[in-house]
Amino acid sequence: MNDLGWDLAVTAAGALDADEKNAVLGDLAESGVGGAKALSEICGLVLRRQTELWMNWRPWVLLFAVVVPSGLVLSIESRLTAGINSVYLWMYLNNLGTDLLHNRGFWYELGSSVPLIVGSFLKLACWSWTAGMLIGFASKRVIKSSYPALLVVLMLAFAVAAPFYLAQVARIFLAPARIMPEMNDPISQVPFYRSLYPWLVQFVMVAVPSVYGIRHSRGAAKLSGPLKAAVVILIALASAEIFVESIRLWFIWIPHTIAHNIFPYLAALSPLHWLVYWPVAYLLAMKLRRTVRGPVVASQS
Amino acid sequence: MLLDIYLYNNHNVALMIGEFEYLILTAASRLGEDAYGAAIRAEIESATAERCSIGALYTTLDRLEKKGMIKTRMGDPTPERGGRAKRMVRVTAAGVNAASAFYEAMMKVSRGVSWQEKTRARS
Repeated sequence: MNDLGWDLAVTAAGALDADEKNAVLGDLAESGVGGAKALSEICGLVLRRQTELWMNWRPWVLLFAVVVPSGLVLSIESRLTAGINSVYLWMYLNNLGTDLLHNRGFWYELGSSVPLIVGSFLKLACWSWTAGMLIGFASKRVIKSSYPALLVVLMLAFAVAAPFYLAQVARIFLAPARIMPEMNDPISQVPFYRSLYPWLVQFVMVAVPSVYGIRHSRGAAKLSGPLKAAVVILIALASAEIFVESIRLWFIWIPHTIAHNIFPYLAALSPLHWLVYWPVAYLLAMKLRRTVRGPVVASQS
Repeated sequence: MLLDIYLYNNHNVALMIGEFEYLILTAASRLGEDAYGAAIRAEIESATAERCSIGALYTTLDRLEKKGMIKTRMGDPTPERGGRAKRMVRVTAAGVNAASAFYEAMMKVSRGVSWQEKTRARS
């Protein structure tokens, strides 16, 4: 337990400022305490620091103005993406065989569906990464509280709010037409696709990219003036684009005839559709920049 | 119990310290140039015979620094600390005034009270 305890203590100390992490781990090492004791001491300090942060008004404003709306939109979108893609996944995994592989229709269908599946996952991951960047930029002074807040919101939104929203939509508007992903009964009855798969999508395509988005925001905040301004503009435009695209989640509640007339205008409001994929270009550009300039010496932490 | 009292230093600026802050100021003052997290913690544990948590120590150090009663800086890394640096602590004039005023207040309020007699009378 000692080594594991120390490893966990060092990991938990990552939630502290670099200097404090250094000093505290050094104090514990000097005191000769065991791993379990070190872990409990670090957790106590992290808890106190988090409590201190949440005694301020800033994290609360950030929570309700940015984190909660982002978490809700991402969680609903994640459930929809998982629902639609589970149909294809089930179709390919559960019916794959030599007969199918020799079927030309299968390859035609595969060629048309794979870009859709990959595209929807990529889009969800890019949305999540952008939301993380937005949270990171909006919360420079409270960034340590952003991680747990975002993860808790994502979990609650995914487990409670999104299913409730989708169930209401399905019950009121879509159940008669049987066009909701959840209405794909043969697939949604399979435990894996019903329970585990949506959580996997939420974790891999939403939680991980958004946490990385927050982490990358710290690096982006240190960029030189024009580059930083460009990143801020991209975050703002991509967030606006996500907002416009996600409006369809809320407009589903208004009568179909009105929505039918509004959607073309919404589409027209979104000429920069490709902007949602900006994280791919940004990460490639940063990688290229590091390659050209050489590795940056990491600060001791 | 955390006893908070309002004190006034020579510049008539309101300062507030609690008993734990007083313990840290006193320990840091006694240690002088060698005052840092682990040493202060050991001093407090030795004086009070009670456990002093890292969380309580570091959050209180921050609070004292914000009040201008101490100044901290990162020292050099040492091998016995696994190559990690110390957070060195120096008590400022405001810290000395606040601790001194706390001590005076404790002495004044304790005048004429004998806890040893009361303990004996109860037992």
